[in-house]
Amino acid sequence: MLRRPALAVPARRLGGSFRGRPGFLVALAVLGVALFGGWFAPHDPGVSLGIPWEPPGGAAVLGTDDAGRDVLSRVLAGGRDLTLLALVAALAAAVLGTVGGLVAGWAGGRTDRVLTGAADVLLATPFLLLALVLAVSLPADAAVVAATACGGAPLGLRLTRDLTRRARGTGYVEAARGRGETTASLLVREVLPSLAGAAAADLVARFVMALQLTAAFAVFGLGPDTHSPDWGVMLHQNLPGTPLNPAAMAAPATALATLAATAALLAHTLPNTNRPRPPDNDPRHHAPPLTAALPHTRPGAAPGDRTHEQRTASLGTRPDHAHRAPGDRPPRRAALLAAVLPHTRPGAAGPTPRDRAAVFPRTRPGAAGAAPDDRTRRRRAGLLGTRPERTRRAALLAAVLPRTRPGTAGAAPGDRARQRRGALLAAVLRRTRPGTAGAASGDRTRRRRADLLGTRPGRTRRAALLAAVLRGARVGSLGRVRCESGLGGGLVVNGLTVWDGGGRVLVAGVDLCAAPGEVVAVVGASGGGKTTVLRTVLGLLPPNLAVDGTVCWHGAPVPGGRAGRRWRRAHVALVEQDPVATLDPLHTAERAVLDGRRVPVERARSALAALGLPADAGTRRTGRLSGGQAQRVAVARALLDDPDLLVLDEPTTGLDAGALEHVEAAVRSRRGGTGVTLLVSHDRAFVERVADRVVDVGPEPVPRPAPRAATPTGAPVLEVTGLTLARGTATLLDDASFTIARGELVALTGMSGSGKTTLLRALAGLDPPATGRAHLNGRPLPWALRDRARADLHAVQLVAQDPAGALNPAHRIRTTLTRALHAARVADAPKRRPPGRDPAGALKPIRRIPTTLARALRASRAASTRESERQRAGHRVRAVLRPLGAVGGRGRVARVDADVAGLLRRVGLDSGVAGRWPGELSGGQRQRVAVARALAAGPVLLLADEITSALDAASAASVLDLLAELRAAGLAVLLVTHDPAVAATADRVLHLHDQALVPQAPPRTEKSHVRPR
Amino acid sequence: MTVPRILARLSAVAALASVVVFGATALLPSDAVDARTGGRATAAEQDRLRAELGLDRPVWRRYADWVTGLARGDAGRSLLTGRPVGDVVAERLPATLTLAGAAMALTVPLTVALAWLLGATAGRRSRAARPVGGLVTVAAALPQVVLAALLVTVFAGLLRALPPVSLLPAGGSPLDDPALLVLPALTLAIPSAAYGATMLGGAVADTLRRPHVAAAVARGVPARQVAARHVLPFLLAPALRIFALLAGGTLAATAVVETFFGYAGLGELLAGAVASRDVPVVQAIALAATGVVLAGFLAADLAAALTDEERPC
Amino acid sequence: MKLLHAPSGVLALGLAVSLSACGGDEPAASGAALRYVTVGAPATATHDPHGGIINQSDLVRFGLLYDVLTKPRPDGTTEMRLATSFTPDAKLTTWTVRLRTDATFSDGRPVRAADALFSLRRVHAKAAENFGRLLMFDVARSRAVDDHTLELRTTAPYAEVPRALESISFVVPDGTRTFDRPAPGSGPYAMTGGDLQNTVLERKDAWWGERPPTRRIEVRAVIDPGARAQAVLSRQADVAIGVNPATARQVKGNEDVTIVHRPAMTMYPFVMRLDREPFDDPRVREAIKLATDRRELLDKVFLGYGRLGNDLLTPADPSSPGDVPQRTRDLAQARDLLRQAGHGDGLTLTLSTTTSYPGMDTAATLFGRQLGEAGITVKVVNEPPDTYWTEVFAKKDFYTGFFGGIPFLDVARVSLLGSAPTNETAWKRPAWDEGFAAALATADPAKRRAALGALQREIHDEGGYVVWAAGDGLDLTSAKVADLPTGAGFGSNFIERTRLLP
Repeated sequence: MLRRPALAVPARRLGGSFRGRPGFLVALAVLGVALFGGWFAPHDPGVSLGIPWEPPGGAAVLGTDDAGRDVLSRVLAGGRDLTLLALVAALAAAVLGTVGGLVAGWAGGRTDRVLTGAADVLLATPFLLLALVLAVSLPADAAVVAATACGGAPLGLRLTRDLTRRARGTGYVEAARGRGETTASLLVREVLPSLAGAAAADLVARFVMALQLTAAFAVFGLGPDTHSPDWGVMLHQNLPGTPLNPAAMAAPATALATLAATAALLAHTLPNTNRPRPPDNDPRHHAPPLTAALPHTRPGAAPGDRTHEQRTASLGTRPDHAHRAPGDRPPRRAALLAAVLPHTRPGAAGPTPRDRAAVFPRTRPGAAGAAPDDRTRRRRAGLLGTRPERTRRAALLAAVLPRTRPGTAGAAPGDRARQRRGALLAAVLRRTRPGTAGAASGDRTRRRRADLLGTRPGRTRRAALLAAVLRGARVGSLGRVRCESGLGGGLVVNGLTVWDGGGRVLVAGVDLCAAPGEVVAVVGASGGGKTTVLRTVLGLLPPNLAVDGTVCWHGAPVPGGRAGRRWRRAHVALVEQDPVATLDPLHTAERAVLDGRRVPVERARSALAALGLPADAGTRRTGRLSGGQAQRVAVARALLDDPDLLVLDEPTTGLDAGALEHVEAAVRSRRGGTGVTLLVSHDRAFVERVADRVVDVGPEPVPRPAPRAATPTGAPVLEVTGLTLARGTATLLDDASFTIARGELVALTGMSGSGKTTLLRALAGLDPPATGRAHLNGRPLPWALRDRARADLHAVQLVAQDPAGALNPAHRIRTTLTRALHAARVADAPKRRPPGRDPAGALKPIRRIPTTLARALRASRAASTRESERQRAGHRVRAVLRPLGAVGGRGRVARVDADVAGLLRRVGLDSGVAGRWPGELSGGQRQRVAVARALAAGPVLLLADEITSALDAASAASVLDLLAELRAAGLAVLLVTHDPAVAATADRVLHLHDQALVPQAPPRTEKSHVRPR
Repeated sequence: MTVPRILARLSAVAALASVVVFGATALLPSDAVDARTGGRATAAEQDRLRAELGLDRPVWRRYADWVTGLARGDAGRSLLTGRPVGDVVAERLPATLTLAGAAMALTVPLTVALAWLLGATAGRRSRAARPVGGLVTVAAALPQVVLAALLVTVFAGLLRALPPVSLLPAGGSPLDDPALLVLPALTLAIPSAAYGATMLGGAVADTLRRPHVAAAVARGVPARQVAARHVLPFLLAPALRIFALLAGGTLAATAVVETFFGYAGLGELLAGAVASRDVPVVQAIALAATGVVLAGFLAADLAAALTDEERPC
Repeated sequence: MKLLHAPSGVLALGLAVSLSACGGDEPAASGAALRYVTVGAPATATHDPHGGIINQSDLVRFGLLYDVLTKPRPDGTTEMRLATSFTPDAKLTTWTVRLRTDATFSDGRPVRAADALFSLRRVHAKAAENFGRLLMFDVARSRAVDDHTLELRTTAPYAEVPRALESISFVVPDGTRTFDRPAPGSGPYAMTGGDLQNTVLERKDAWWGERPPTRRIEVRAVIDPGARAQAVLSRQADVAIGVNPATARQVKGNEDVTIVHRPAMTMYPFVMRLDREPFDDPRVREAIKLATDRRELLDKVFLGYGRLGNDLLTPADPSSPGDVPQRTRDLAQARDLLRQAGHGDGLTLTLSTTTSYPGMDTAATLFGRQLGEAGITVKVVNEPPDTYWTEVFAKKDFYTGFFGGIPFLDVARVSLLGSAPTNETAWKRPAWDEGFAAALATADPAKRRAALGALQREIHDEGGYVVWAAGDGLDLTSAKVADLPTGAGFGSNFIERTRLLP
C-alpha cells in the first residue's frame, strides 16, 4: 500500500548531519588544497629558477618571487604550515573561550564577575599592542597562537556564557537536575551539546582571526621562518616586486582570502542546534508577516541561519499528526488537497484494503471484500481515467470519504474527528446550513456522497473546486476571499472555512454578520477556532493556512497586505488575547494608549481614567503594570478614537470584579453607536450581559473524561505546612499549608503572575522557598535538590510549561528518554534486593518480558529497606504502565529501544518519533515527550505546569486520560491550569489569590479562558 | 546597574588595562637604550644612558612615577628622542582621529543597514538573504592587507580616481584633501562593518520577534513607525556596545592601514614605539585607545540602563 | 646607520604605478617648492642634531638648518664649510681650525668658536648613541683660542681630523639646553612650518655660502620605500630617496622620472665570528667565501643595481685597496678546503637573518642554498627585527649584517679595533690595531691610504666578512629635478644645491 500520501514530499534526514550541505564540501576541498597542495607543486618551492619577479610565462606559470623561485609552487606548498598553525590557534582560543564561558555561565556570582571582568580587560586593551608585544617576545608561531587566544577567547567566553546562562533555566537542564545528575555530567551531556553549534561557529571565527593575524604580522615583517614557504611571508617578501610581477603578490593574497572566506562561509552554514523551536502552532500566537521591511522572522535565528529550525518556522503551523516533510514548503495545491483528504490514524500507513472497500457506496463500510457491480465499476473507471492516472485518483478518492476507524478502545477523538469531517463535507456540498443542526447523521451524509460520485461534476463553485483538485490545476486563485453583498453596512462573513497545511480543519463553515451599532459575540469551547475567525476577518492569518468563504466590510472585501494594514489602522481596533504582551515595555501607559496617533494626551489620560486606572498609572511603563492594569490600558488604546470596528479577543481574562465592570461599561457603550463590535469570549455570563447576538463556533465542548475513579483515601503523599513564597520583594504566598493524597489530582489555578509556577518549582526543589516544611510519605523532604536523597529525587517530577525549552534541541527524542531511563536505573542498580523476598511479585511475569518501562520503574523503587505504603502504590502504577506488546530480548540496546517506544506509546505518540529531533515536533508532541520523560523516573508525585495549554482539545483529553489511569494506580498529581474544562476534572481545586491558597469546588460553569503568563 | 557602579567598574578595567600594557612593554626583551644605541655601545655607556633615562628603577617604581606624572598631566618624555610624549602624540592624534572618525562614519550606517537586512531576512528563505549573508561573512573574513591591495588596484589603478598613497599635506589637516582619506577609511570600514553586522543582526532578529512588534503590525501601525518606536529603542544598548568594540578594533587596525598607505598617524607611531621600546609613548597611545573603547562601553551601559525594562519609568 | 626596524614596503601595485606614471595633470612643480621624501620613522624623529640620528629625514633637515665644519664631496675628498683651514702640529695631536667670520645664526648672533666647541663636546658626550664618532678627540683639553679659531686636541696622533668632522659636526649656539624646538641654526634654510614628520623650510636671505636655487623645500619622512616611490609617480613629491630595485627596473622606460644611483650604499655581509666553532679555522672561512655565488646574489637581491663585492667592507672609500684579485666561486677548492678542515662528511650551520631592510632575508635564503652545493647544510632562521640588533647582531655565530656606506675609519673604530664596542667578527688582533694607529699617525695622505689599504687586504684574506656585493642607493626623482647629490655616505644628505628645472 502507499507508504504515505503520494503527494507529500519524501522526508529528508535532517538535524545535525553535515553531509547534505554544499558549503561543507567546498570547505573540505579548499582545506585539502591548503594542506596537501605541496605534493602537486610543479617545482621545488625552494629552488631559484631565474631572476626575481619574472612575469608569468615560461617555466614559472605565475612568474617568480623575490628570490626567483616559482610562485605557483610556493603558493601550493605555502598553505600547510599556515593552516595548521591557524587551526591550533583557533582550537586554543575556542576551547579557552568555551570552557571559560561554561564555568562563568554556570557558576554565576563571583566566578562569573571575575571571568567576565578579565575578558573585558582583554577586550579593552588595544589588541594591536598585545599582538605586537607577543609577536616580538615569543617565537612567531607561538605569537600567533597567543594573540589569537588573547583576541578571540574573550569574545568566545562572552558568547558561551550568555548561552549557558540561558540553557541553565531551560526545561531539559532542570529535568536533568531533577534526576539528580552531577553538575559535570550535566554540563557535558546536556549543556555542551546544545552549545555545539555556537561553539563550532566560534571556532571557525577564531580560525579566520588567526589567518588575519598572520597576514598583519607579515606586513610588519614578523612572519615565521623564511625557509618554509608561507603565504603570509610571501605577502611581505613580494610586496616590493609587485610592479614587475603582480601575481607574486596576488596569488598568496587570493589564497589567504579564499581560505578565510571559505572558513567563514562554513561557520555560516553550521547547524545551530541550540535554537529553541518557535512558539507552538496555536494561530493566536502566530505573528502575521510584517511588511517587506520587517518580514516574519524565526526565534533565536543567527543571521542567515539555514538550519531546519528556520525552514520549519517559515512553514508556519504544523498539525500534530501529519507526517509531512519538514524540509519543504508544500505547494498550495497539495495543502488544499491534503485538506480535502484528511488522514485518520497518526502516521497511518495509508488506506487499508478495508478502507478501499468503503469508497464504493454499494458496500457497507467495514464489510470485508464486497465485490462492486460492473456499472459502478465502469462509471468509476471513467471518472478515474487511465491506469497510472487511476491509481493516483484512487488514492485521492480512497481518502475522500470519512472512514470508520477500526475499533480503537473507546477512542473518543476518532468519533469527533469523523463528525467534523462530515460537517466539512456538508459545507463542500452546501446542501444544509453547516454547524447548526449538530452532527449530520451517518446515513444522510452517505447518500449525499453517492450524489457527488454519481453525478457529473456540476458547475457549482464547490464541485469546480473538487474537479480542479482532481485535474491537478493550481488552486491558489481559488483561495482568495470573495465578497457577496449581504445586509448593507457592517461586517458580513459567509461560509468561512480554514484549514492548516496538514489538512486539519480549524474553522468549518462559519457565517457571521454584524451591523453598525451591534455587539456580536463569538463563543465556543477553547481551541475551537474562535480566535482564528477573528484573525481571518482582519486578514492576519499566517501564510500557510488555506481559507475559503467571504469576508466583507461595508460591502467591499477586506483588503490584504499593505492596503489591509492601512484599512486596519484607519478603521479597526484590536484587543488581542494576551494584551500585556502587545504593549511595548519601554513605553509609558499614556504613550502606549496614544500609539503614535496625533491625539491630544489629555484624551489618553481620560480614557485611562474611564477604565478605573489610578492617576499615576499613566506615567509608569507598561512593563511595570499588573496584568489587570495592562489589560485595561490595551482596551483604552482600542477605544481611544471610537473605532468603526472594535474586535475584542477574550477581554475578561484575568480581570478582577472592579476592572470587569469598567470593561463591560466600555463595551456596552458601543451598542447603538456607529461602530461594529466583535467579541470573542467563553465567559457565557459576560457575553449575555453585553452582546446583542451570539454565534457559536467550532465543535461542542470537550466531553468530560471518564468520571473520577474513587480515590483511595490513603496516607497523604505530600504534606506542606507554613510555606512562604516570594519573588524579589513581593510575597506571593504567605504561610500556606496543603496536602495531596495518593492518587489525587489537585488543580492549582490563579491569575497569571500570581505565583503558580513558583510554587511548583519550590516543590520540585529548583527554587527553595523562604520558609515552610514539607513531608513526602511521612518523611521530611528537604527543599534544595542537592540535599534530597536519590529516591526522593525520582519520587517528585516536574513537567515544565514552556514546550520550546522542554527538550534539548541537540538530542533526539530517543536520547532524551534513554538518559531519563538510565538515570532512574542507575539510582538503584548498586543496591541489590535482599535475597528471598520478591516485592515485585505482581510483576514477575513482566521480568520475563524485557520491557524497559517495568524494569526502569522497579529499579527506581525506594532504596529504604522498610516496606511502605508508597512501594505498594509504586507496584500498582507500574502494572498499569506496563507497555502494550513486548519485544524479544535482543540485547540491552533493543530493550532500551523497546522501553522508549513503550513510553512514547503510553503518551499517545508513534514510536517513529523516537528518531526525530525536538525541532521537528509540534508543541503538543514535545509536551507529551516531556510527560513521558517525567514518568520514566517512576514518580509518586507529578507536578504538571500547564501541560494541556499547548495541546489541541483531542491531545489534551488523551493526556488527561493517561493521568487519570496513573492516578488510579496511586500517582498524586498537582496540575497548574487556567482552563476551567481541565480544572473541572480535578478532585480538588486550589485557587492562588491574595497570597493564600483558597480551596474551591470544581467549577460548574466554564471559567474564563486565561492565557498562561 | 546604577551609573556610579558602571563608572567604578569601567575605571577599574581602565586601570587594569594600563597595568597590562605597561607590564607587557616593560617585560619585552631589550629596552629603549638598546634601540637607541643600536647595540653598538659598550656596556658602560649603555648603563650610563639607562641611569640617565631612569630605566634602572624597578618596574613597579617606574609605573608609579608614570601614574603620578599622569595625574599632574605630564605623560613623561620619550625614552628615544627625549621629546615630551604629549607633543609626540599630539602631533599625530588629529590625523588618526580624522581617519578613525571617517572610518567610523562609514562603519556605523553600514553596520546598521547590513544588520537590519540580515536580521530581517534571517527568518525567511528570501532570495536576498543568502547572497547578502554570504557577502557579509566574506567581507568580515578578508585580511586587511588583501582588501587594501584590492581597493588600491581598483580605485587608484584602474579608475585612477583616488591617490594610491595618502601623504598628508605639510602642516595641513587631512580634511584639506579628503581624497586622501577615502581608501584608508574604506579599508578600515568594510571589514569592521561586516563584523559588526553579523553581531548586530542577531539582536535585530531577536527584537523583531518580540510579541509587541507583531501586535503593532496587527494594529496596522505603519512600518516606519514600528521600526522607530518599537524596535530601535531595544537595539540602542547592543548597538553601542558593538560600536565600542569596532572603534577599538579600528584604532588597532590603523597601524596596518597607515603603514600601507604611508599615512602619518598614531598607528604607525605605535608600531614604531613598540619596536623601539619607547614605553611612555606606547603607554600614552594605548591609554588613548583604551579610553575610546571604554567610553564606548560606558555609553552602551548607560543606554542599557535607560532601555532596561525593569526600570520603573 | 639605519638601524630602526622598518616595516615592509607599501604596496606600489604594478598597475597603479605604471598607469599613474604616464598621466597626471598636476603641474610638475607648484611654485618653487621642492618636495623631498626620504626615509624616516615617527617614533625616532628628533630635533637634537648631536645624538643618534637614525632618520635620514632628520639628517637632511639638520643639513639645511645648521652648518657643519666639513662635508665629504662625492669623490670622497673633504669640502670645507664653516671651517676654512686645518693646520696640525708636527705630532698630529693638536689641530688649529680657523672658522669663517661671516656666518650668523638665524637669531642674528654670529657663529663663534665657542659655539663650535660646545657642539663638538655635546656630540662627544653622546658617544653611546652615535657610535663614539668623536672619541678620537680630547674635547676637555680642546679650547676656543678666539672668536674664530679652535684648537682641537686628539688623544693620539690622528691625520684624518677633517674627515672625522665630516657631516656630523652641526653647530648650535653655545648653551642650548632643550631640543623640543629646533635650535637657531646658521644653515641656508630656516624651518617655517610643519612638524618633524613633514617640515617646510624656507631659504634665508642672509647665508655665507652661495645662494641656494630653491626658495622652499618640504622634507617628508615616510617609512615605506613603496610609498615613497608612489609619491613621486603620483606627482605628490619630486624626490623619493631609497626606492626598491624593483621600482627602478619597472620605471626604466618612463621619461617623466629618472633613477639616481648612489654607488655602494647598501651592504648585507654575512658575518662569521672567528672565536666560534667551526669559523675559527681560516680554511672553513675561505671555503665559505669561495662557495658564494656573488653574481647570483647581486642579480637576485639588488636586481643587478650595484657592484660585485670582494669581501672588502668599504669599496667606495678612497683608502680601499684596488689591487686585490676578485674572489670568484670555486666549489671544488671549497670542498677541498672543507675536507682539509675535517668537515669532509658535511657541515651543518644556522644562519640568522631579519627583515629590517628589504632583501636581507632573501639574500640569506639564497646564500644558504649556495652553501648547500658545497656540502654545507644551512638552516636559515628569521628573527624579529626589533630584537635582531641587540640579541643577534654581534652575538650569534653566523648572521646577516648591514653597512650603509660609512667610511672605513668609522667601520674600523666601531667593528674592528680591539676596543670597538661591537667587534662583530671577534677580530681581536693587536698587530692590526697598531698598524691602524700607525696609519693614522702618517701625515702623508698617499702613504696613509696605502697603509689603510694593507689593513683592509688583511681583512679580505682572513676576516669573518663575506661581502658579496654593494647595492647602489637608488633614488627616484621627477625629470625636472637637477643637481641632486649622488656621493656615497653622508655627503648626499646636503641638498641645498638641488633645484627644479622650470
